[in-house]
Amino acid sequence: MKFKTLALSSAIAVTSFSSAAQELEITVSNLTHGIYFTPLLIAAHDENTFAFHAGTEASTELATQAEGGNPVPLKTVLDQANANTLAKPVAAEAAAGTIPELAEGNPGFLAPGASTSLELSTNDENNLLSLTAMLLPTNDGFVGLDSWQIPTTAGTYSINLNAYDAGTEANDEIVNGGGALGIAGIPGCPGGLCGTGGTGVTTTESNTKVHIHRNTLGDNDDEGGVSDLANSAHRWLNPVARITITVK
Amino acid sequence: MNITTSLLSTAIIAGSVLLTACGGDSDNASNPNLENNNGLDYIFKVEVTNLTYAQPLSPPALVLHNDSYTLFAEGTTASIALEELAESGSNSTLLQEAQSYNSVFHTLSGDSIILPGSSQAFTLSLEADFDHDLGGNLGDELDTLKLSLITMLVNTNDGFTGEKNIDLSSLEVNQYQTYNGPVWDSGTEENSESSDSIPGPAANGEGFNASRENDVNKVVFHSGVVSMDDGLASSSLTQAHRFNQPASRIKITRVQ
Repeated sequence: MKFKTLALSSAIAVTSFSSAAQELEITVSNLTHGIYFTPLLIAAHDENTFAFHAGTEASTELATQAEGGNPVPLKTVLDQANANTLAKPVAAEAAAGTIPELAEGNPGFLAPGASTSLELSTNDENNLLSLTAMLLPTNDGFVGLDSWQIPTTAGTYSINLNAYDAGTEANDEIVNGGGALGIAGIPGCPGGLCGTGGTGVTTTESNTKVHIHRNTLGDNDDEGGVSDLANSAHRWLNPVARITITVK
Repeated sequence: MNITTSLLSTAIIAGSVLLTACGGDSDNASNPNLENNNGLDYIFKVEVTNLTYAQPLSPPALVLHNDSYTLFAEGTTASIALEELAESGSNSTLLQEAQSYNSVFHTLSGDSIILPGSSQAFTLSLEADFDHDLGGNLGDELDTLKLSLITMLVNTNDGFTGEKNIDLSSLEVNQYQTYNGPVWDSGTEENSESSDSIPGPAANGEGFNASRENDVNKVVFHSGVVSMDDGLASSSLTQAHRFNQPASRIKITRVQ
């Protein structure tokens, strides 16, 4: 009978998970002081699918988002695996022509301190939630949530999210517009405060697996130094975001 | 979800120990999981992933214990055994000491460094029919079972990561829990980052030194490394050795 006692206590202690369709209200907050998030990709998927795993190499599609901000290739892959996906803010979808163009001056980025909300309906079996969005200005940094188990119990859940490095591009910290896959450099500096003329922090990326970002280095030289980033503006400590999920 | 495909080095170490017999077979008859497993009642798989860019992790120390054992606590003085692990990466004193406590059921040592981006897996087997003088039964013992696991960031003075007092009692078969391992500073060695004080490959300097001069002598969260590239000229570390929280991920799956 001792095992039965144990099993009972376990059942109480562990939140139950199932594979039923669900309605989720999701709010994502950028908690950083000076880092922008490119369009968020949020996906509910099953255990055979993932957006990224720390300690494994990034997919080409994740690298595309982490280096240049475009979530569409990764969204497409997840959609093909029957995930329920949303990309928001919607700049990328506008660029893809699936929704009207955004008003001028709206780049679709989630600014430091800003929040955005969306609703996601999940199909049966899609009981894991993932999120990815590039961090700007970085070379291949992204904010990530990997395969969080969506509770079946109605309620509101909050998770702190960390900054990852896709491991696919050297963190040279040169802002040169290089956002295409395999092209060195940082595609842009929303919010400004970047310098020019940096010689480059490094030319190598020794850890090719997805890992926790070691942070930007930056410097205090607007017209030179090793980095185009500002050490007083473009650093962070984890966590960098909070996602709040209401299960209806 | 298949993290196992990424394991660079998988150390499967079956714990030979553990936990005393519970009653007779009748207790197990209702659980089909227990009928065809040669008496192995609980098996946990523990995967440790190094999340840093360039900080190798020393061979982890794993300690299975009950509520009476504390590997360390923030704000309090580190044991000499913890100091040795945090400064040199050697877990031998810590594990030997842990084995001497009645509150410790079992210990395991990793057999190699975990490189950045790599993972290692360990198997903890709790045998219900193993005759052990714990005085309780498997169910009662499991209710109090905690896992503490730590490993040094070897390119630091005295930084370590892992997690402590992880409750294993609530896991059901095939369920898993993941933990992000923060980075602590043992508070036992000044964070000089000098070449003679960093034992890892960045400097190959000294490991354990019993002196605790110029440090706070209590365990706290690590404040990170500065590095020569960020203005600490005397540092042996580069920008590549910087890290952010967390430094490790621990995934515990109850496989049986």
